[in-house]
Amino acid sequence: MFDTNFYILILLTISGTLLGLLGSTSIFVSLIVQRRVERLQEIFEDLINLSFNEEKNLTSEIFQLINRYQMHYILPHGPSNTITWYIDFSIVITLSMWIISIIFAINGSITSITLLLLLPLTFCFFILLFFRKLLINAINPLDNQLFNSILPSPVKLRSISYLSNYVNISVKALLKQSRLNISIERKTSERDHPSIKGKVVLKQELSFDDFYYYISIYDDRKTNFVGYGYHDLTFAPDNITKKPIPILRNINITLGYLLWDDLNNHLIVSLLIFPLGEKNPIQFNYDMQRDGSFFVPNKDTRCFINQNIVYKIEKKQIRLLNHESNLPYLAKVFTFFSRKNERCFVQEPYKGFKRQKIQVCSEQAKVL
Amino acid sequence: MVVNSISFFLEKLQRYLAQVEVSPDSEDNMKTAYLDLAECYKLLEDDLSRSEKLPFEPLSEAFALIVNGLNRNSLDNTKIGINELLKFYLRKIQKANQEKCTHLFLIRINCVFVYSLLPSFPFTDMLWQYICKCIQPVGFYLLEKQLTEACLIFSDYIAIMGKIAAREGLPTDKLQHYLRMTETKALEIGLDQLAGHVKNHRHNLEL
Repeated sequence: MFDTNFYILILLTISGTLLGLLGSTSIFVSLIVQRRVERLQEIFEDLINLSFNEEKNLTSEIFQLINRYQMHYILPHGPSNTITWYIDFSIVITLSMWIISIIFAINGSITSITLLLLLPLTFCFFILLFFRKLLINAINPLDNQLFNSILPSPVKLRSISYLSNYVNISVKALLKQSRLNISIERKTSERDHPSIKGKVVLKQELSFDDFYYYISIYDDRKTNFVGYGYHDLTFAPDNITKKPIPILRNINITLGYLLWDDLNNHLIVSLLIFPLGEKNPIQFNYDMQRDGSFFVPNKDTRCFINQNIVYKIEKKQIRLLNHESNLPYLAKVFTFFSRKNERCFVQEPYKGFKRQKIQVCSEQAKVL
Repeated sequence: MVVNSISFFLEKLQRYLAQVEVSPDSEDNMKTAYLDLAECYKLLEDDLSRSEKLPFEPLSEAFALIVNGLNRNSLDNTKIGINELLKFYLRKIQKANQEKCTHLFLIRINCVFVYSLLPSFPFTDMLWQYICKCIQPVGFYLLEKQLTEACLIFSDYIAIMGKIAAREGLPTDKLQHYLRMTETKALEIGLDQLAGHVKNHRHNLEL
């Protein structure tokens, strides 16, 4: 059994050490968090200021801001490795001290009571590990629930929904800077195929994401294509330099395929963007003209907030409250919306818009 | 009395531009009447002792005319100036002189654009939009006529202007669109080198 006085001393040391560690860790963590939040606020303010400047070309400034944020977000590997090493070493030393003291304190045989009395040591071990994790996460807050709410990852800065939820930012201006554009290309691989398919591609100069979208391609007679889904991008770190990628330029996202043969020479494309923090969608209208093997916008894009459509996000599910627009199959599409990050489309919806006819486009977004 | 100053300007400009002559690429322009130190590689004593006379350069006169319009903040004159420069460029260009001709005209257009960036010129945005609109048909015409060298140099100048424009916060979407279309068209007719060149310009435009 333990010498009781000695055991109490050990317990006191344990709690004293833990308290000391708790204090120093908290100070360190709060310092880092505060510094980061300040930086973040600064960059956010810059971004918000930029967003009210609709007519100017600010894509490179936004791109640089997000990359600067990324730089402040992750500390360089050198110092963070040193800090991790320091805390690991301290934990090991403390634990060995405690174990040695306890071995000295044990006199007589080990009974079940002894094991029970050893429980605080086990608990403390786990708490120490928790603090270690907390500190490492404060240095590099990647994929951590606790810190992500205070320090959003750089990826959040390209998320339209996050920005529109967080502040009263001008989403339309940001999307304008993102330069959404549509092109319809003939799919070359199936040139010999009897019904040649065209590919509908969404082009973005800046890869803003995280919104619901609806797209329809029609002429004055019929609708050729309806697409909808949830637009969410993930970029893996660069496979050569291993740098994380918060935002990309010049990206192409395939939204679906349509039958090339029955396309008119002149088409209208309407694209609606539904950010999660707004109630009216942003509409883009493109007048497309055939030019060889692709369709390109031939006039300036019209971009406006469509006040005639009102929607609401409930439990992350989108619901149409009211609409007075003549966009084809808009109400119908709302019955199928889901947030599974799928790009769904229907070819020739006039032949019947049913669940069986919905196809999913799973092509990855790529830089072209 | 109504004075139609614009048509007078146009007439004068066209008269100058019509006189522009571009020598073929193969011929080097060392042997001109006027000794330009920047153009000569090795200086001979004889060169210095020659009596020299400046040949009439219609393009400089035309350029001076356009800049004069810019200086008086005349948007119309400048637009017409750029339009005429580009049209005469396409009229003068041939397979044999494509490089020289492109350099000659595009550098002037570049200069007009740079001049228009002065804060005292109020219509920078509009002029830039106009230049962007003009670029596409000119570029496609060159491609159609298979003037590949000219296309390469043309895209270089476009990229230079695009970079300046992006730095000034002017929109570059039309330029990007033109570069992308050129890339696709070049790939279609098998000009891979041009396509790669143009793609590189497009990706570097706003960096």
